[in-house]
Amino acid sequence: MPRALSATRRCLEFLVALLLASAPARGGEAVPTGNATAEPRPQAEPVDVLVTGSRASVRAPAAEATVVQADEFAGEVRSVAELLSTAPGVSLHSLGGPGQATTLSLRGATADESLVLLDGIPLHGPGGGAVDLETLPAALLDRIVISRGVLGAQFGAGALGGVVELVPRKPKARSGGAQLSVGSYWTGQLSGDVEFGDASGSGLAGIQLDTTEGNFSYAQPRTPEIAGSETDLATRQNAYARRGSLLLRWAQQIAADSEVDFVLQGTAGWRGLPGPSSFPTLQSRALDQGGVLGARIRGEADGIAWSGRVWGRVDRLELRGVQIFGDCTDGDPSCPRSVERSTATQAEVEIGVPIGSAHLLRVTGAGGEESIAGSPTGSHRRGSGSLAAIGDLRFGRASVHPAVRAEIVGSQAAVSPGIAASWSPFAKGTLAPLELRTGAGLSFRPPTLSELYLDQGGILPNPDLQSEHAWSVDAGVRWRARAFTVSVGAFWSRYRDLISYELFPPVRVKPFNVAAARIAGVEVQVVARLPYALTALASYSYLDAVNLRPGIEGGHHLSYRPPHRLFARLAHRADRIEGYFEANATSSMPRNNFDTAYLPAQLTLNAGVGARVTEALWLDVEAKNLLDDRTQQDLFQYPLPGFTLAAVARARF
Amino acid sequence: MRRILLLSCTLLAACGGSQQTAPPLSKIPLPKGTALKPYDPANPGTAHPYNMAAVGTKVYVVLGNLRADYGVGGPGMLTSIVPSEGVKDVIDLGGSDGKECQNPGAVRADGTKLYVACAGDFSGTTGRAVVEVDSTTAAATHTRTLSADQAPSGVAPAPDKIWLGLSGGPVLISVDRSTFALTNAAGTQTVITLDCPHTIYAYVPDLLVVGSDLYALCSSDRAGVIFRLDASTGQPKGHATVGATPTALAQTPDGRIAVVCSADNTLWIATPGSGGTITAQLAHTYASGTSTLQGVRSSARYVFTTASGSNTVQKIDVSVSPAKVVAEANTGTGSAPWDVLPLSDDAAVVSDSLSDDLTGLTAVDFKAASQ
Repeated sequence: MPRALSATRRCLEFLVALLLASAPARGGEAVPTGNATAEPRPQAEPVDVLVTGSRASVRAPAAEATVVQADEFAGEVRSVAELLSTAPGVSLHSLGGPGQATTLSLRGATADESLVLLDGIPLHGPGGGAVDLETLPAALLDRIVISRGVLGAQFGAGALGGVVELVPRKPKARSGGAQLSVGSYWTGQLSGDVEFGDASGSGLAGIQLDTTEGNFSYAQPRTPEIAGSETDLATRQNAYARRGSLLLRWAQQIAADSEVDFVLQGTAGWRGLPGPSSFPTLQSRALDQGGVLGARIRGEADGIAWSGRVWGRVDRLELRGVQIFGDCTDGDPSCPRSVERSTATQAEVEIGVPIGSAHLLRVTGAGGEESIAGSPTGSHRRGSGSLAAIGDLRFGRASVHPAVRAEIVGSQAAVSPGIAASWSPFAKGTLAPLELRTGAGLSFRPPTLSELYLDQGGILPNPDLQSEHAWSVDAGVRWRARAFTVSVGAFWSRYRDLISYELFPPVRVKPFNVAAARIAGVEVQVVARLPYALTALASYSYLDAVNLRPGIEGGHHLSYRPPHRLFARLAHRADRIEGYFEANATSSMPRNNFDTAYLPAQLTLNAGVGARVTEALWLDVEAKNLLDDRTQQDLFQYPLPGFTLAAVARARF
Repeated sequence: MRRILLLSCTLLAACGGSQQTAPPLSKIPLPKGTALKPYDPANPGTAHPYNMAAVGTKVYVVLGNLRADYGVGGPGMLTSIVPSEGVKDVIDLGGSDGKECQNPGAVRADGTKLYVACAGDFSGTTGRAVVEVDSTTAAATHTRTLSADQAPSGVAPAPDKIWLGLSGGPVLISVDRSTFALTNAAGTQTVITLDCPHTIYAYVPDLLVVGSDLYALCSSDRAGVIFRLDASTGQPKGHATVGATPTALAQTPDGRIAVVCSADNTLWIATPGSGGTITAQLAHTYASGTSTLQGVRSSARYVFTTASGSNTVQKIDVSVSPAKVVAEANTGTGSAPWDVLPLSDDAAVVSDSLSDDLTGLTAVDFKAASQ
């Protein structure tokens, strides 16, 4: 098999699919570690619909950040990925249509170089770093906070591109709601929640059920070398997905200044793995189950806020009919099932000590363990621990937020420093809304247990892997007025010791710490409140991601990082009528590491309109990809859907 | 009279002889099931066709005989076909125990002899070998087994030895053509290590002998290089940088060397110079929709290439600069075309590595580019 070596790409495709598929089935509903301890109920509630503001995240209050309020998209069929796509600095990659694995890139970092937290609990599984956003229940979220930059000091190892904090809905009053949507290719979603309680405690129970056949049609050229080539119109097969997610949370006041809360989140799903359009895999499927259970107690004594929390996470993933090159028949002797189980537990304590009247010092200690076990991997476990100090220092109209974290994960240890500052130079007058900010950080990402130990088919582990490292600086200016917010920022980051899967002859691939990169960019966001209950939003990202690896790749751009991305949306929300129109444009981006193959630029237009038909009931109709562009693709020739239509009914009571 | 006859034959040959050759079947099924002599009948391999070579009117295709998990399902095979008719012979390369040759990938012809490089069991240590096959008897005539660390990925017959490129490093070894031994009369083994920049890996994906020259590709994590060596001694003469992850090379109709590079989607043309030198120029950057270039071969006038990631075959005129894709064919979703063997300027046979058959392409299958 001589040139099987050149089939590394296929092997890498498989690897990506595997890692995406092995992203832990999401769970997680807990109380943020840092949130409540420093100040009683220090919720980072945004004032605006979408805010670039210094209070976006309690852990990193001066980081460049965007807050996405989920209820601003009520009546729309939105996945977590689609909510994230409204923010600058974010690019998303999907292995197909609805229900198929979708991953996040912040500021050009890879999916496993950004943290995704569900109410403070990291969702990165021990087996694979990338979080599959499609396993997260968007309907059960209150908001998403996207903080960008190297934020390891504030959030822990792995936050090289930034952090996405998913904030689940919290019980507010005795109420409930439900939403049902039905759309193209039998895509449907049913979600509902009930909020209950009394003066001493409150709870919420929510559920989200998703289904899709995913059998959309797509077009691809038969002979791409020939201008004006005919296209093949095909129907996506084996792209179905089913998922159910559950959220339970309860908070109980146990004393005048302390409370305890519990959270349980679980999800289970199964889906076909359709493969790239050039080589569909009709027999591959993945089944996953997972859950998070967390408990926290928090309070305040003598002006010192304190909290303690424990959480545990369990995930299981089973792959059937999956092979390195293509698929196979489940049940055949040469087509064994692959099963991975992973667990993670952690305990955390935090105290917030006021220093004078304007400053606050938060000290956090955490320790835990993660493990992975499975047929291709064997059993492995490792411990972790960290000690962090974060300061919130305020000097008039300026604030400084130094942070440092010492952390050990398995055999990897590092210290992550970081600092951010903001300054509003004018207290009054026309320029009062002006704010300047800057930040810097240095951190690391330890190799995942998959990278260290996963041995499956053509993928070899490398127990000798070391951590990746990155640093970044950024600065920005923000204008934040009542009806108009604009934020412009720029960043510069360097990555070294990046883990890259390399050919390991004759036909396998193996990870090594060989890559390096420089990533710089500009992020712009504008939010404007307009007359007639209109809100306009625009976010733009420019990215220059350059490969610094010695050799033939050096100097070229990193693949799958779009240099330009623009999202624009105009929404109307009134008492009786609502609607929106939005455009999502992505520039052409490199498809390989040599600047010789590109994914074409893509423009997607979406629109929706709805009306309140009774006191509690809204009916909406939504159309996506209005141009019916069926040639759109994402990673590794995975096609994306053309025009889709959905009807949505929702009610609150 | 003899001159006129010779001239007529020459003209016919120059015209490609396409009028004389029956068109290939559009699909040529390959052996399966018990024909592949599975080690475990309950868990057989499938054909997995890779490289091809022509002897006379027959096309010879190596069959990997691999299972779904890419474990070896049975002995390495070589099958002969007549493109217009189908499979003729199935030649077992596995030797007495069926495991001397496993997972063959490369084959080159020299006269009536064929030489097959067997990469062996990826998960084990068996099956590394080079096998000589006599096309006249459709049988293996010599087998030289190789050590576990000498898995060959390319093969090229020279007048006095068979050159093998290894997958474990930028290394060439040779087998004496008369004795089929790894050592020469003095008892020493020829091992040529190519000066190929690399940090993590390097290997030799393909080899070719043209006259007194041996051309070898090196693919590594840091470079793609074509080397020109002495075909008799293996002494390096010159080298030139080509694209990323070169996968195959072939002589062009005008005597140069074409190299396809899968990682950066490029076709390079290397030109041998005087004194053993060699230079290489980028001839074509493929369209973004074309991916994972695998094979390259030449007809009388054109260079043909395969791209397994886009299931396409290109017909390229390299006599112009830059080279021009004059036509392209699609072999069908899921075919993963590996190697191409032109039967004429308008027809070819393609080995579909994942659909376990061969595709025959004729002029009607090629979509011509506008002039």
